[in-house]
Amino acid sequence: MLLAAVVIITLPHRHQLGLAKAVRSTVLAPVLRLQGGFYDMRLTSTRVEELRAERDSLAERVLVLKDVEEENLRLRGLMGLWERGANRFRPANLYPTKRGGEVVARSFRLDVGGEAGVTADAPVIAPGGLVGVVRVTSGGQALGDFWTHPDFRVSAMTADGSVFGIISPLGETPLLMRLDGAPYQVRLTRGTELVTSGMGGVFPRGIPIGRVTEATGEEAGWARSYQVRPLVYPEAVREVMVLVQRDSTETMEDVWSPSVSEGNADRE
Amino acid sequence: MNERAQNRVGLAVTVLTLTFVHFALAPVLDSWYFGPNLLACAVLIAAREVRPGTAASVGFVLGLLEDSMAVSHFGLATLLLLLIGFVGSLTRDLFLGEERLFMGTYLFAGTWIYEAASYLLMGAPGDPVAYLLLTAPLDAMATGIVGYLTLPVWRTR
Repeated sequence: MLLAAVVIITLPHRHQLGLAKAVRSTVLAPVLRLQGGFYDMRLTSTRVEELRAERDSLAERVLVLKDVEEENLRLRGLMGLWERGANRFRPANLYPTKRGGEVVARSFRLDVGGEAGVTADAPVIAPGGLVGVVRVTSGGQALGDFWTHPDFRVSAMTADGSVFGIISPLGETPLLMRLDGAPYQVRLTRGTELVTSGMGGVFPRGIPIGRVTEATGEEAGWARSYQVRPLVYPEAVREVMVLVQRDSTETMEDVWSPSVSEGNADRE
Repeated sequence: MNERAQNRVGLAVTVLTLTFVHFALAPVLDSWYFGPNLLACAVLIAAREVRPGTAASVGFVLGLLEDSMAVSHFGLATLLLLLIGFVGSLTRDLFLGEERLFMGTYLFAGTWIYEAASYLLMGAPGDPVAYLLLTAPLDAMATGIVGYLTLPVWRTR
């Protein structure tokens, strides 16, 4: 039995994922369906008033926006533009999966999978910004990592595209991020908004990630590091969108309203 | 049905129920600052009643279920729960007590060791001192209480 456990640990990651998928879709399948039900129950019981108010305001907005949407579609059709955001995303419910020994959730399960067009490496976003990335999919579900996962990396830039760097979770403080590799000659001020740069081919350009809080270090006079406050916290996100149509050249800047950074990059 | 068989049935029902609740109510339990680790509880309870090999098998199966819920560190929970089950079963030879206080302490220690080992081996982020000396002991205490409450269900004698 000990040997079997050691074999499981040393299996190639691809086989481990296959084994996990087999267990989830057989033994755990009924429990996971129930888990979703309990989750929704908990959510509705704690957020009834909030949801009611949200529904009322949404109903009002839908009425107002209906005409605008029709006009927008007509104009976009005339100009030969794509429909904004349509068919690019798949809505999903997200369930954090926290194991013993974890302070914050690092992985999650989605209730959509390969059947809905979700693929591995698909970005997962919430209205606030970047949530994480899908790692593996099966028929009706997918597993992924939050940005809190130690293996998570994303190429980032300032909203104006002047400074680039790599964002990773800040190890010692689980709910903060770190921007590394920012150029030395540029100093980012507190509140500067960071978005995905589109480099690396996983995350399209323009997904909000977080805001700079403070400078944390310099690397031998050629690069700077910053602490970043995320825009989305794993514990607070439940309904997400998964990007199902991906194109390495696409940008998501049109999906979020243009936001003005509280701070800007100051060139020294 | 004799007493031993009754105990075994009660034990199996307890282990299955704890496992089921662990996964079904995970979103609720995980949202608390601390909560019982019902999977560790199931393995530790089973370990007190069965032979080391069987206890290790229970740990192996439940650990595999736990590992299936995450993408990384696959096999870690399998290995740790297997070892916890095996060592837990060996304590039957060292501590013969049937007292509930002993069971509470045993569940506390077992869960604390499991969570501390997981934390250290996963290299989880956060303040290690706060986790090892506050969160993990609180989880372990909650597990001990839940385990204590399940005793009448599976121990009829």
